[in-house]
Amino acid sequence: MTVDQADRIEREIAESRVGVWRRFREQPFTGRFLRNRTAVCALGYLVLLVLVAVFAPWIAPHDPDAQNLGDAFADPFSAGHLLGADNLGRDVLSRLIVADRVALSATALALGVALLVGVPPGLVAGYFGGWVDRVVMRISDAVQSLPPLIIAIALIGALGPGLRNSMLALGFIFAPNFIRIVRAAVLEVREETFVEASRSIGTPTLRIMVFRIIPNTLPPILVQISLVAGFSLIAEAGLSLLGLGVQPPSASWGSMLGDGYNFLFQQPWLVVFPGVAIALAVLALNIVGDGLRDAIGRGR
Amino acid sequence: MTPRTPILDEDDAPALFAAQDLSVVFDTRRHGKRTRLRAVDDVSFALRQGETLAVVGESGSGKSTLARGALRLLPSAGGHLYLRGKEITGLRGRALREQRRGMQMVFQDPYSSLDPSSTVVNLVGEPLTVHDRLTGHARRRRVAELLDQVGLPPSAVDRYVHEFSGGQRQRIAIARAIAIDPALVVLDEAVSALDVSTQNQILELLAELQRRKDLSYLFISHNLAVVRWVADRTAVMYLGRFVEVGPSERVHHHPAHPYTRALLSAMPVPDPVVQKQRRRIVLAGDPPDPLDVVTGCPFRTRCPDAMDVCAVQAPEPAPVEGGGWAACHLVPLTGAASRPRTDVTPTMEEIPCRPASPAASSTTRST
Amino acid sequence: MTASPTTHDAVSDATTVRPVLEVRGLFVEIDTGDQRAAVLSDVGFSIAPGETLGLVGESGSGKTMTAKAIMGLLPRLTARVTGGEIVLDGVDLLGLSTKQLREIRGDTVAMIFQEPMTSLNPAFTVGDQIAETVRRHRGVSKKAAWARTVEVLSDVGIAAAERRSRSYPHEFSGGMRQRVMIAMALCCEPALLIADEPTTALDVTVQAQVLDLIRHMREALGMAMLFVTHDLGVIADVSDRVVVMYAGQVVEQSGVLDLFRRPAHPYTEALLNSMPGVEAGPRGTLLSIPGQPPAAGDFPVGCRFHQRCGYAAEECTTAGIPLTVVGAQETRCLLHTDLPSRPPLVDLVPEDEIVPEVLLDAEPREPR
Repeated sequence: MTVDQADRIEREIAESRVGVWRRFREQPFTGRFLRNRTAVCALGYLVLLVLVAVFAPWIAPHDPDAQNLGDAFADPFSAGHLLGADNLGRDVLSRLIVADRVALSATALALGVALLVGVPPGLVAGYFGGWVDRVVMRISDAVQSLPPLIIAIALIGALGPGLRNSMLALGFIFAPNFIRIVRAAVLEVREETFVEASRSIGTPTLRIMVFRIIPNTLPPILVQISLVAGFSLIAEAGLSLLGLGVQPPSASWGSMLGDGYNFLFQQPWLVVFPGVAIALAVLALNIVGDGLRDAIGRGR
Repeated sequence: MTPRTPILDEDDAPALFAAQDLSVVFDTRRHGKRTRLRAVDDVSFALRQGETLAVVGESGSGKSTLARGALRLLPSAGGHLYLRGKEITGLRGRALREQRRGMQMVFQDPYSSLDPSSTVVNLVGEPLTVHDRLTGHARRRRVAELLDQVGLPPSAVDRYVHEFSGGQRQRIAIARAIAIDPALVVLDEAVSALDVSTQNQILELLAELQRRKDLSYLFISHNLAVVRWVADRTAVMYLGRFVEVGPSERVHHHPAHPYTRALLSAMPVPDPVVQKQRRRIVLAGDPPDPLDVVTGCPFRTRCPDAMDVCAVQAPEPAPVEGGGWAACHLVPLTGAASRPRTDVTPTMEEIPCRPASPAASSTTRST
Repeated sequence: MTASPTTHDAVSDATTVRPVLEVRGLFVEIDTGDQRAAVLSDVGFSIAPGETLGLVGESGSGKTMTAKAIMGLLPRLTARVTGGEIVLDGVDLLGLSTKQLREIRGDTVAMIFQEPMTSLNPAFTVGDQIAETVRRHRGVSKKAAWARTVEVLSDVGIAAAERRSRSYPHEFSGGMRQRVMIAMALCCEPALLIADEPTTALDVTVQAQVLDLIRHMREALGMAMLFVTHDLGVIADVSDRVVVMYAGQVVEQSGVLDLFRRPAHPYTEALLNSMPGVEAGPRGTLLSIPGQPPAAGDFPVGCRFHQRCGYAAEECTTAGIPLTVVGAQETRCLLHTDLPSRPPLVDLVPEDEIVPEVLLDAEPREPR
């Protein structure tokens, strides 16, 4: 190779360097997702929820637990209370903001447990097959054949009540789902010619797993994550609504909904805002899930 | 019982790669019964440095299995494999991966053989990372050079494969295969999925790389016409065995085995006169199920020249005039099953060919 | 129709019979998600009764789109016919309702596909499926339909047709399945058979059988055929006349002998040159067409082939090139007649296959 050629190649690859954003747009899966405007908006809303949860104490205009009976049942847009105040005069907006934190961390806990317990066995079962696969799948079948409520009651019985333990139980209940989905995805990707091509190159198994198989099994896992997240969110709201979740005075969308229900005739807005918050978050998760599912396709 | 096939035609140069009595067996179920399918049955061949050996056969002949068996991507049920004189048959794990540096593969379908979620630099750079521990900028640079060698712009490094056409993807696959300077490249139907116009570009590229790097190719194909241009020698495979091997020109012009002749005969030639006037052999039936064990010659169930002896005894490889051998009972009797060239074969001038006349425009319209 | 001097009338005048199928100025657009792209522009040709028209082109040339448009099988959501006429036996198919189309499909015009499994229902026996088609179009009794089914299955060379008609599609091998598909297409003796790459998925030895069968059935039924393929060898084998498509346009239309002896369009010439084995002594150079075929929506201005054409001149790059008549041929090229004539490819077949006497007698007949 002449010096000229080498220079030209050096220059061309320097010029061709592309940013992360363009990579995302060109990558087949993320690219297809990004072209779906509705899904991107929904994803934006979820990101916003996360940001609000992280910065909740700084964003909330009032102390969410501060009672001010003078403001009790204040209407939305009244002085000092953008979304009104509840029966004890606590600021609804501030309580919604801290409740967001509760909702997301509960969801994250359930998801985290499900992923931690579900993904590694699924990967191993799918890639190695044989007796490993059979053992993993039988255990997973056994767990799935128990009624979820029994598992929940057993776990809570062992660990004690409380929102955290409820979500932990939820995570365990969802784990077999992840085992199945990951295993199915790995089984499919494992048979792809590009995996055989990597083997023909002499790439070690672990490397094939990390760089070829896992990236291609991500899309279905992401779809499942969005579904499980939506379910966990509703479960948390439901438990709190029934008084089994967060304990007063802490706020949760579910408990706010429950409290507001008692004062439906004094101030109907008290049920509207937490209800809308729950609905929007779950809707956004479902839209993102649909968008992810639509974006899966053979990268051709 | 099974014929032992000779390793080389003219055995003087040392083989770069050799397979001796290679067998690949699959355990399958058929009608609920466990059956062993001998997809590759005692096949032997040797490749010299810089040589191209083509393996031609129909689907189910075992040619792709042979390619994978030779590269140890499938476990072999018997036989020996040698790369540069070193036996690689029993190697496992790291020792086998080391040997893969010397032998690489290009697959048929450039759509499924390249990971869609990966950029070109990560695909072409994979062998560089694995074998040369090359990373970062050095790897990027080397990938760009390789892309340049296969006729792609170096700026393609950060792109994803879905942005490329079939021919361009096959170039990426080739760049990947030659990245670590292997001695042997197995091309498994590497141009079959491409359009004719791109097919030739890739064939030219492969020929140029072979000249420059002294590569040996094992070229698997179903198309005898493509093989004729590419390969020094051609092996014809039927039901897991080689039935004829010889210099490509000889195999093409004077096929010795009835199956080779039938294969050539079945390929339509892009010339209406030649195609309509040629003496053609049309085989009856489909290629048999490899699970049906045929006694004697495997081809006898479809062979137009089958004799009584074919059902009883498997033919031994017999030398053919013009080089190579064929496993057919007819060959030792006739020297070659093919008729020798007649002196009356027409030259191009003798065949009437309407001259292109520019004056023939609108006047001849009312024929 | 555009102003281009297309000449189907001239061609059909020569035959004087009313063509079975006439496609005039067909335009089709597809929705690629980001934009609407024209995949067919001004496609036109006609097929005389009993004639086989070969439609040849590479992937993306629009040949399959054309076949689908004729059958009314374009994907409803993404593709749209934006102009032209498809006249079958005097009726413009584009004006028909879905119901009327369904009556014509399988009756006057039938189609066979590359992958027979996709057009056979795996849940029913092949006999049931063929008998159903016969009953729908002929309105005959169950018994008569079944008799016809067995007859047509044995016509296409299926041994023990009576028994095999009670088999399910998966019980047949690839070649046999293609025979079943042909039987299904021919059960109502259509006037026109559209064959879309019917042998591409088959092994060569099986392809030879199926081609022989198609040729035989066409002669027996006297039907016209549109044979879509990318393989010029198959074209040489089956067709009387050939339409060459490139980038959504017809670039050449010639009798089969003319096409192979003196192609009128540089693309045809390049395609012939790149056939495997053609330009080759051993290790001779291969001629390949540089670059890639343009994608729909990205067709170049002027002649769509000019970027890859060895003869391209300044004038080829500015305006669209009309289809012009040159002798008995049509070409979408300004060069008209200057391409060299080509010798017969005797070299491509084993020597003992050539029958010298016969070949010498082979006076190139006018295909029409």
